[in-house]
Amino acid sequence: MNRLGLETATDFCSVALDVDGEVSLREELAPRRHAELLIPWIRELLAERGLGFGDLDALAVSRGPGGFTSLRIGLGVAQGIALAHGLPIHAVSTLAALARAADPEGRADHVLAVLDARMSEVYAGFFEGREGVHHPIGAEVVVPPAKLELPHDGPWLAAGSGLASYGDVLESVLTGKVSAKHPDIWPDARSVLALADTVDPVPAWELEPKYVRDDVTS
Amino acid sequence: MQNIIGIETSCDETGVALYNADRGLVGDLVYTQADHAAYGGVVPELASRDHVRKLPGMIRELLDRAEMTARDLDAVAYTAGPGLAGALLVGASTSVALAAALDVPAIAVHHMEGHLLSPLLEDPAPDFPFVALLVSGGHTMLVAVEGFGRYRLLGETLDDAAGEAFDKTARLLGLGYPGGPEVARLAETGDPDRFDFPRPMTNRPGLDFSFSGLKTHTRELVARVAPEDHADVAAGFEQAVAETLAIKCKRALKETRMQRLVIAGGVSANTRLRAELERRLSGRVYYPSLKLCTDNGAMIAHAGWYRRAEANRDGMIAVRPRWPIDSLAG
Repeated sequence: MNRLGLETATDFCSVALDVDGEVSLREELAPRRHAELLIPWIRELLAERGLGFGDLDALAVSRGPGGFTSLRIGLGVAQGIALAHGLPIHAVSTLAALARAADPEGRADHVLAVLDARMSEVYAGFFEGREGVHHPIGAEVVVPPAKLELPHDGPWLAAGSGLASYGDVLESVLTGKVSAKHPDIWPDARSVLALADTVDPVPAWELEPKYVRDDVTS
Repeated sequence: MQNIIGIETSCDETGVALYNADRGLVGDLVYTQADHAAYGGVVPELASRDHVRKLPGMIRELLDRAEMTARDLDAVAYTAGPGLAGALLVGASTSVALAAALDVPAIAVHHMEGHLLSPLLEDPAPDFPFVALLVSGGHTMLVAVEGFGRYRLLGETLDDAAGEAFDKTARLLGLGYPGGPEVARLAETGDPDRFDFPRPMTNRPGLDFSFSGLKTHTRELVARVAPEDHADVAAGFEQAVAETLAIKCKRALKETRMQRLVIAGGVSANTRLRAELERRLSGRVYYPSLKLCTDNGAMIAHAGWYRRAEANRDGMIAVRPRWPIDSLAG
């Protein structure tokens, strides 16, 4: 089983190739460079394993929320590859991938994934760990960091660029409810691949990004 | 390079088409986004979102209808610019990845070159050289087309595009979007000579356009007339735009000593403009079919075939939101 994973929803550009359970990676904090890095990296990863695009069985892609432009570059690349070879695509939540990247073994009971959403807001997702799997609690949200409401008092393992960008404001929201903070953890393609089987695959023409921020005309 | 798919996502039309080197155009689908109407103009983020939603399904439908699979494609041509950066990136990402995964080259096409060469898709096609008037919601320009890759920008708008002026006038008159057809419909019952409108920049030399003064004039006029006078305002405005464009076209033919004018872009569908051009340049105007006048994938596939020597496999997803037409080489 050969699966390609793409994570481009944040400044961290990440590609992973899973060949029968063995994962190889290319990734880098590369703001605004996804468009130039993505396809050369994919080619390198395939070539290292002696594979071509036609040897892929499926794709897994981060479906948002995240930066609109970089997110769509990843989706577009996934759709292009999928159309070429009739491949199914697993659309994985970016926030779930972040939770998984922060807690790869699934040991935490509660994970808060929080990404800088620009415009003085954060994207946030809440997860509950059961038997090594992160289950989402409620809907993913976009809110000003001061208005972030945790579903309960935790303790939460908190991760993501939201902590780095809005540390001071979030401090007051999270005080006493957080066991650990990882502001420098990014959602990555390895995590996207790891979560692929939790999402039913769709053909390229049914792939839907999830922007979460849907009011974009005001 | 037999089968080239063309992908257009530079503004608010999603276009895909197939061009075959022997058979010409073998498939052509265009989807015009509707959700900008409520905002009186194209909202770039909404345009990008719609392209993502529509493009893959349209590619599949195009191939299905042609009884082909992606593996029958020999190259992927896509609009790399000019246009809205986010919208262009949707088409570029999908196109460059599709090409890479098929192990065929990708061809970055200039949107305006697509328009300039699109008359050659018609039968009979006009011969080079010709002057092209490109007039749409995003562009108003006159280009001397001496041959493939030999384009000279003769003049362009210094502010609003003509289509934009129609959109803004429609809004002033309480009409819908896109403004061109709405203003034209109202103008049918109006008297174009009742109110005076300027013919911007026609009384001085040069081939540039300016429509923002006309818009200001219209706004002031609308403020002091009654609603029942709106048809006359619409007719007067439309006549002013049509005459201004036609005067410059005539001047462009004279200055270049070329014999033929080709028009393209959404505004070229306007009947008053066509009548004005016919009146001033009778027999010298070539009108491509309406389907080719608006943004479409056919012109991109076709221009891609002309640019096949520049096809590449570098896998770079690169767009050029600003890309001067006269920087293209032959």
